[in-house]
Amino acid sequence: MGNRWGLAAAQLATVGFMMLAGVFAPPARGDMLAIPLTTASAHGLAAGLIAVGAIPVGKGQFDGALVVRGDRERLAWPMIARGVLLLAAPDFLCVGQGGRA
Amino acid sequence: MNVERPMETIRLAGARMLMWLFWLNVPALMLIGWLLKSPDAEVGALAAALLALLPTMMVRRRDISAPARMTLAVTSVAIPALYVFLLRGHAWQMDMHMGFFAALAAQTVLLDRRALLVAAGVTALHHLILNYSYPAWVFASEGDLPRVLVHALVVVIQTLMLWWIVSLLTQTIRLQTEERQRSEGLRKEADAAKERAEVALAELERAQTIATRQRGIEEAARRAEEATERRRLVADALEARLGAVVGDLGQLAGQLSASKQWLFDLLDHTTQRSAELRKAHARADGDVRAVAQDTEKLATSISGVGGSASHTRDHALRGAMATRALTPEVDILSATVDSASSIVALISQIAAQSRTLSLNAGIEAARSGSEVRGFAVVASEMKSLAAQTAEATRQIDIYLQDIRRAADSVSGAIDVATQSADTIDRSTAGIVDDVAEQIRATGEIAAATEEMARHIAEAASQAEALSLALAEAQSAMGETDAAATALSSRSQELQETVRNVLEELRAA
Repeated sequence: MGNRWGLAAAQLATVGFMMLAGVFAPPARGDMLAIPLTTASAHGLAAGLIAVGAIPVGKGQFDGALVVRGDRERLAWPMIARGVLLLAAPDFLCVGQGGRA
Repeated sequence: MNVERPMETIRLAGARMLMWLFWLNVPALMLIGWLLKSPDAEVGALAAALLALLPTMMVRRRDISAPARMTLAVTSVAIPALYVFLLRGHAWQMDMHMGFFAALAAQTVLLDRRALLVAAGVTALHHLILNYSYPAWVFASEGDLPRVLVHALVVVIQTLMLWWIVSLLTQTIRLQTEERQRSEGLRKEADAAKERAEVALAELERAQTIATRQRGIEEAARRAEEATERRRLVADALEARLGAVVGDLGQLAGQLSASKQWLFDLLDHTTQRSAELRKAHARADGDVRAVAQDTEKLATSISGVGGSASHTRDHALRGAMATRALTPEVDILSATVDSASSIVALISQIAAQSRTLSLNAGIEAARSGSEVRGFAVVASEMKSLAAQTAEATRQIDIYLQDIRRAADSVSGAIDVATQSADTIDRSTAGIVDDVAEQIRATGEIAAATEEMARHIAEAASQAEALSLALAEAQSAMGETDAAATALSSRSQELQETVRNVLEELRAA
């Protein structure tokens, strides 16, 4: 029975994970939060984002994080290659109303 | 039967239905995403497939335990969230929330109030969380707590109603299960009673079979006893009959043997008598021939008597005819005598009147006197004549009476003669007939004599044959003597054999 409750918890966790994924996964097109995972990746982040077609619209709650508007397909792999985590841009991860341009 | 088993059956069926619905959402999400040209169509379908994996594994293992039901409940309310996710920003996003109500209602098939609460809790919780974290996912517009609360109230009401329904269903199913168990128990008792009855019936049938077999055995024994009794009776009857027959045979054999010598003596005596018979036949033949000759002579004599009788008859007939011819003459004579008698009577009457007249004339003459004396004389004479006439008529009458008597005598004699002639005729006719009969009898005697002679000759030949037969009989008697001896010995053997057979028949 314990194993079964574990499976139920795993399913609940999956649902939670999907909800989180839904919340934090970058949209196909729209505002996205680019969080540099290293200092090197934070250097010249804005330029790199602009270089792949993104438009910075604000800052994030994290240091060096930027809120950009762009196309996920164009941003995803270059940002991953730079060590930048690309997420959705919910309000609580942005800097106030003015966080997003 | 476990009370939860029907519940588990229903839950398992519901779980399978939910599982197929989970997998049905995979192509549905793909189709909707393709129609909306959503870049997240594959993601939604993949997420639906990922969510369906674990419940499918549980259902395939027929696991409908409480954790499995929780998993199904969580998955049920997660699937509509995928539609809301896929249609975020779309005008129908709000309509996709109806899926949560359907998902909640679908939990009734699991008959689990906790799963219902989990589904409702997960629905309310993630809406509440998303209302703050990602309000656009909850409503197309910005987050609105009162609306969330209203929706939560609706969810709570639905949950309460579903709770009540599930409780009723669970209670009903349990009651039904208990009733079914009770019925099952009664059925089992009935089956057990039926089995006991069948066992009893089988025992009864076995007992009946045994009884029938026993009756058959008794019947066979009775029949065997009857057969033995019948054999004994038959043996007794056979003994009585065959014993009597065998005894008679033995006695007859003895008598036969005893009669043997007597028969031999009888045969010798018979042979002697046969020889004497042949001699007697020879003498009888000679006597018969003599009788035949005498019979011929007798026949000739009888024929002569017959001729004399016929001649006498002819004469008698002629006499009778002559006598009958006198009868009219005699009758005429009688008539004449009668006529004469009447005339005589008339004369007598006239004489009487003459005397009366003469008497009257005398009386008158006496009274008249002498002048008429002559008249008195005449009267006297007339009286005398009348007296003479009367005397003469009396004499005539006497003569007539004599004549009448003579005629009567003649007539009687004629009748007697006629009768005599008739008698002679009949006698003669009888003699003729008798003679004819004697002639015929004599012929028959002659024929019988000849026949007797022939028979005597045949008897002689038969006597010869009898002599031969007697000789053969003597030889046959010798054989009969041997046969009688053998019969006596075989009779004893038969008696012994019959005794043995009867003893075996009684012993069988």
